[in-house]
Amino acid sequence: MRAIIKREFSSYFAHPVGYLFIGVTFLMASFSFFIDVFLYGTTDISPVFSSLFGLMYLIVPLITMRLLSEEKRHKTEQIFYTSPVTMTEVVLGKFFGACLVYIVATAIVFVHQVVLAFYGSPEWGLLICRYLGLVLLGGLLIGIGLVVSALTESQAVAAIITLAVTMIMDRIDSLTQSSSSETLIKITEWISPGHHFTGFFNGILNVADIFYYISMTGLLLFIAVRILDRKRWA
Amino acid sequence: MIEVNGLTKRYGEKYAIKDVGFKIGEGEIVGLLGPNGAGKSTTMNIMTGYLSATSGTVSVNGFDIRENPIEAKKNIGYLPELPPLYPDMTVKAYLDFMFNLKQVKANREEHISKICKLVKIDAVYPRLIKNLSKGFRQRVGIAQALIGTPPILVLDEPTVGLDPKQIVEIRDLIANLGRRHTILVSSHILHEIQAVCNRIIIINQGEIVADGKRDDIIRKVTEDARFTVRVAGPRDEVAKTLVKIAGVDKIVDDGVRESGSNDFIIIPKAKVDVRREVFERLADRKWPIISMVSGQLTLEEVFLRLTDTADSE
Repeated sequence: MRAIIKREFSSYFAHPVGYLFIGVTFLMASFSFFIDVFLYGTTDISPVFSSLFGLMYLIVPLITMRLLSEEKRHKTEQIFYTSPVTMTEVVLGKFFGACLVYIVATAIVFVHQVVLAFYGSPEWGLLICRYLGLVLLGGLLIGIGLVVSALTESQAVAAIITLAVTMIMDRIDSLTQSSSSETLIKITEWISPGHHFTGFFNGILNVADIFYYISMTGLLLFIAVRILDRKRWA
Repeated sequence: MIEVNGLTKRYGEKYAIKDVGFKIGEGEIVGLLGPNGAGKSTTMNIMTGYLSATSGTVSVNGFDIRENPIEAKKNIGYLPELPPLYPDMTVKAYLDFMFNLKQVKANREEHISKICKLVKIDAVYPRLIKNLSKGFRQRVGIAQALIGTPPILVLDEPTVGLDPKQIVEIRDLIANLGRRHTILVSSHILHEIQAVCNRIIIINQGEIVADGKRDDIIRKVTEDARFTVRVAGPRDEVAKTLVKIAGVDKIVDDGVRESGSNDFIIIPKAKVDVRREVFERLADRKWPIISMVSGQLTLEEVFLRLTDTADSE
């Protein structure tokens, strides 16, 4: 699995896409930091997290679109099927490879926090809590992208479908906002990644929220493994 | 080493391969021969775990590819029809990756450099795969299959798309590898198979139509030991003389192909060699034999005959 993580991570930097993802994340986060925090003269970094939260839905498809679709197109997937590795190792390798790029990109918030430390005494605990939420959200989004890219040979198709799914996920709780059914509202709230992010954002580590992200991501990875395993039977 | 039993792959109503079975022993170099679309790649893909069979079993060094895939795959090095290369990696990075993926327990640098020397890719080692010529890519593909020194190599059309010089080089390489590995190599080009393999399996429309040593296959397909003689002598008398030879079943007058001589096809009775007798009788009468050509089929003809019969069925 380590071999796959390593290859996946380094392959992001053989293409512009890795630089693009990190660059756009740095740029947008720093832009928000400058206008919402620095110019305001506050040490509250929460607007940066709000921007990153929205941005990730849009740009995570960039780093997931080629994960499996590219392998299929170049027929390099044959390597995985005929080498002594399991599909679970392949999927986890791909997943963690993409997660690493995501973690590197979003770690920019720590730089912002260090800058703030010169002007006041920022809450490091809150930052770490929010960052954990952001990373868990990333895992979920990457999981969605991984499943979609297992289904198509085209990177563009993978990116567009992933974007559609993440955008729907983002607003899924609005679906029932005018509903009178408590159950329906509960269900859509439970599905909504944003709903579970609120706790982290406010500095509350809630087991249910952590469980939500990890179980949803696990389920998606399991689906990706099943898709790859099934392909042998096609 | 490899045991394939009753392998069948069905896509809906269509059979890609049907009841394919063979055994390959240690040290054999076996050629899998068949026209395009005969089922060669399907068979190899199933053997190496890329595809699942509809029914049938594959056992590699005693490990079933379905029940014990990890162990089975450790024993096989596979070069698919299209070498599975990442164009954005250098040869070095790619071979490193394969070394890690296969979890080889050997000295990395020593192992990889030995393989590079063997397949002659030292010169392109630091280069990006997308910038390599087809011949070099094929070699990198073979290098990848050799990582971990698996006892069995499965090579799917290793010379396809190469120029004649490269073909000879790859063929020599395979013969060389055959000293240390058991090899199954597929091709639709007879020449290649004939040159390196000591056993041939012919597959057509998903079924095995012949399996054995080259000459055995030829003998089996050629119905009799007929041959043609060109004799400079009076036509009718020569015919009479020939027909009298014990062991000759039938004489067919094949007409005049060269002035001053006549061709006869001699069909001997089953398994009798009458060539010596024919020579002596004709020599007695001072009728020189201009030529004597065996009517045995060439491997090409055998191949065409085997694959044609199946076509017309």
